[in-house]
This record gives sequence, structure tokens and C-alpha cells, in this order.
Amino acid sequence: MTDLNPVADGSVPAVDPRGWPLPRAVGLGDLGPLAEPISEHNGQAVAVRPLTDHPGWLAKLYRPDPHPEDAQRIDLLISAPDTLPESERATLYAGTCWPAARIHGPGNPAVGCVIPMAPEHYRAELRRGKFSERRFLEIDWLAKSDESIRGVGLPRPAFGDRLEACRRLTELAAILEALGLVYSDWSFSNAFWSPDRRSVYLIDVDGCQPQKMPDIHQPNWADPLTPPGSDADHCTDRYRLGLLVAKCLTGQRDARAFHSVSLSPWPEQPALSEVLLDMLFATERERRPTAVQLNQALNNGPYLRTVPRPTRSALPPLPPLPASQTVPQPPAGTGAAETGTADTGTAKSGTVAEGTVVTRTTEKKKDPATTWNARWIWAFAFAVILLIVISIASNH
Amino acid sequence: MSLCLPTYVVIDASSSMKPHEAVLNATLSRLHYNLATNPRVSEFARVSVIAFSTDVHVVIPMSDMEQVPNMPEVICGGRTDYGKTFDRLRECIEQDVSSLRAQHYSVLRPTVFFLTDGGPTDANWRKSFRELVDRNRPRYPHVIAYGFGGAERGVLQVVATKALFIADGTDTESALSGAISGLLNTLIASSQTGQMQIATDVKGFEYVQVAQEYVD
Repeated sequence: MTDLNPVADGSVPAVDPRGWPLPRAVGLGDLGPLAEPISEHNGQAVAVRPLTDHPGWLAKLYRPDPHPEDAQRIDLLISAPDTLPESERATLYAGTCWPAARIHGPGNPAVGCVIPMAPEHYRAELRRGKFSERRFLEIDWLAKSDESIRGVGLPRPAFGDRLEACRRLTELAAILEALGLVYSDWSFSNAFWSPDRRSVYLIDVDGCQPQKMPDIHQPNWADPLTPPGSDADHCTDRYRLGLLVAKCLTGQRDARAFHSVSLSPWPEQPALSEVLLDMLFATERERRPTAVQLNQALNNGPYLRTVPRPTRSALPPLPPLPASQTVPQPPAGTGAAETGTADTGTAKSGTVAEGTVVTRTTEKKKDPATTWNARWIWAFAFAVILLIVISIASNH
Repeated sequence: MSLCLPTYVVIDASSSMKPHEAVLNATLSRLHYNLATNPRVSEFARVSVIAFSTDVHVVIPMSDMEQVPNMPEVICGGRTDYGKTFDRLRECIEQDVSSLRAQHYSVLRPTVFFLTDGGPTDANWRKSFRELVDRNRPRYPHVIAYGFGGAERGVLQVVATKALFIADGTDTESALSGAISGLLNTLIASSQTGQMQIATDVKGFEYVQVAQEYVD
């Protein structure tokens, strides 16, 4: 277990392994010119601006309502990876925009922080109709059906791709947990996903706080056992992490995801279903499994839990199906496969009237299974007719 | 249960919009792209697109925009009948909210984005409007209005119950683009918090605070 206590012998790495060349506390004026913002008024930041003199680095500038304790907290975050084993430090730096320096200004010790820019391979071209745009690909997309993902021109993820992304997520969560940090902001919007490299990249980690922090509310991510107005802690993080993993693994966003998890459709990960259900439905929040336990389960490991087992609340009712969907599953005997379909075809009738004329495109996709069944029936009928004809001909 | 905001994009497609038809359709297609490629917003905001002129047409029924293959084309022409539009909206809201509830959504108060470049050509629209926003009806919507071209400020001050945007002299095509961007930013911000967050900084528009902000 690692925590945020400074290294006793002061053996702090002198140089940021990611290449940040300036000290860990730096004046706004020492950063050189700032380029145009790439993001504004987003969460706690008033702007995120590239550093012209330091390519690949960004200045994240906070709203001008400084909290004196912020400077100390950011310093703690910046030095926290120093306490980690080399491999975990490398994982944290590669998989998050971990802050490299605190930015101070006149009268404000925490104007913002310097963070690395997310690597380019987390961008993807999203195509739909005649429009196309290259953007950072939020992990939001992994919580969609294979059909939806293909619908924007992305490759259909195999179950193994979903699994790998979730392994990377929980690996990072386990490191944060080991550092005693609460993130609170686990959601679709705070992680990028690279389909090519099967990796994830966590953003907004400079908001992490030791032990507890104000709960960051996002619709559909509320922890039922963290009352509104109370702080988020490691238990809240575990719930949200479980929710994120359940949705990304199943490609389902509503209560269907829980029902899919409860069916335990992953034979290579025998403990996964139980871990997720305890994370999501344990009636005592302290009994939620840790990020490490979830990571173990995702890596085909066991679930070692204390007895008696946590009691769980009932699964929410299954919403009516809008379209046929199946959960991505591995094929028997392997850890990765490409399965899962969803019929997203939407048929709409056209209308023509005086004044406003609206033309519509009808696009109803055929169910491949139905198509194949029909083909087999026709082939069978053809073979029977052919046999009868041959039989009659041979008799003659 | 998932939170859901029933959203109505109500667009004036009368004859005064005819010269701007191509831009209107391109802007709607862009709106569709942005919603369809943003799962978080399309999950939160279920959208219906309604075009009105002499008659009212539901271009897109209440949908997850990601499931809509593409945006149909709107052809403009005819008068600017507000009354029929408000009547149809009331019917749609009743039906859509029931349908969303049946799908186990926690349904927020519906929001109407009303885009017009002209005043009403029908005389009795106020009665239909009053029925639409009648506070005694549990499902009355919020109305955010964007007026440009020949839109009548006085009329829109009545129609807007939540926020009003009046074009600051910018041309109709730029105003259309600005209004749709404002609408989109409002939906994005609202999807992040689960509450109505109106983007008040809309390019080419003056933001007018609604005089009578009702307490829900």
C-alpha cells in the first residue's frame, strides 16, 4: 500500500520522466506564450491553453476563486507518483494527464497546473452521413453497441478490446486507490479510448483529493448510497468504476447492463460478474470490492471476499427493449471475439403537404440471422425439388 | 432510472425561409451529426424536430438521434401558423412523455427550442399557446425562443418562457447557424449536470432575460 507521504529519504526524481523541463512550481510568466484555448469554461477550468514554448504541454487555468489549500493539494498530486514502484509510475504517466507543475501567479498560489496533452492516438475520425470530424474518442463510445460504434466509422470492438480497455481503467483506478486518492469523476466523459491500442487515458485527474472530496454530480452516475450533498470517498469511486466497467463491457447504458452482468456471460472471467454486482448493489457501501479486486477479476483471477457475503439490493427492473441487442461475449474457449449485434434501423414514413414538404429516408436494416434462415429454407426447398425431378427423370 | 430531457426543435419553414432553405437543411444536418456522434448528449436529450408553416410536420419523432440514419430535408413555403404548431406540440408532448416513462426514464420538463424568422399569420395563436404552457398541466414545457429576420420581438417575448434570443442584425443564415449552435451548447451543458443550463452567449444574438420567469 502506498500513500501520499513524501519519500522519507528525499529520493525524489529530479527530472520528470515525461520530459517536463521546468520546476514543479512555476510562475505563469515563466511558461512563455500561451496559445489559443483548446477548451474553455469546462468543469473547474476556465481555459486549457497549449504552451507554445513547450510542445505537448498544456496550461490548465482554474476559475479565479482560489482555495489556499489547492496549492498544497496540487503539490501532493505532482509528487505522488514518486512514491510508486517504477512500473506503476510508468502506467500512471502513460495513462493519465497527471499534472507536472503547479502554476502560481501574483497573489494566487494555484492559478492552475501544467498537464501533458493527450496522445494523438486517442483521436479518431467520427463519420456520419456527409460529416466527419477528428476528435478525442471518449470512452463513452465503448458503452455503445457494436452496431452504433460501426455507425460512426469506427471498427467494431471485439469483446477482447472491451476487456482490455476495462483492464487498463481498473489498473489506473487501483493506483489512485493505493495513493489514497479520490477521483469522484469516473464517467464516460473523463477517459479517452484508443481502439487501435486497446488503451485508455484518464483526464481531469488534477481534481483528485486525498480521502474525500465534494461529490461531482453527473446525471446517471449518482451513487445511491452517497446521499446528495455529502462527500465522495473511495466507496463512491468504487461504485462509479463498477458502473463504468459494466457499461463498457456490455455496450449497454441502462439497466440492461446490470441484467447482462448478472447472467455472468464471461466464462474466462469467472469472478467478474460477482465482483461487479457487489460493487453496484452491495447494501453496505464499505463492502464494495476494491479497484484491485475488479482488476483481478478482469484478468481472469478469483474474487476473494470475506464472509458473510455482502447483501445486495435487487436489480432495477429491465426496461423494454427498443431494438434487439446482444451483449458482446467471448467465444467458448477464448478470451476475445467479435460478437454482438444491434438493430438500429429506424423506419420513418414520408409526408408531403402544402407549404412544408418533408422528405425522409427509410433505412431498415435486415436481421442477418433472419436473412440466413430464409436462404437456408430456399436452398432446402430447391434441393427437394431437384431430387424429385432427378427421381422422375431416372424412372423414365 | 436514466434522466431524459424531451427536446423539441421547432423550426419556421414558411415561405420567408425559402431563400435560406439550403442553409436550414445543412444546419439541421450538422445538428444531427453533432447529436448522433455525442452519445452522452443523445442519451440525455431525446429530440423531436418539428417544421411549421401553413401546416405542422413532425420531421423527426422523439428519438435518440444516434438511431436516426439521417436528417430529412425540409422544403419551405406557406404561412407562419403558430397556433397549429402549439396545438401539435401539446399533443406530441403528452404522447412522448408517456412513451419515455414507459421506457423507465426519469423525464425532465420538456424544452421547446422555437426558431422563427417571422410573426404569426394566424389570429388565434395566443389561445393555443396559453394551453401549451398552462401551469395547471403537469407536462407544460419550457420555451426558449430564437428570433431573426422578420421575427417580432413583442410576440417572442410572450412565447419565450425560459429564455429569448433576438438576432442582433446578423443575416438570417448566420443567425440560423448561431441559434443551432446555442441550442446544441445548451443540450451539452445540460447533459453534464442533468439540469437545464442555457448557453446565453450565442453568436449573432442578443440574450433577453425573460420578464416572467415562472417558478416551477
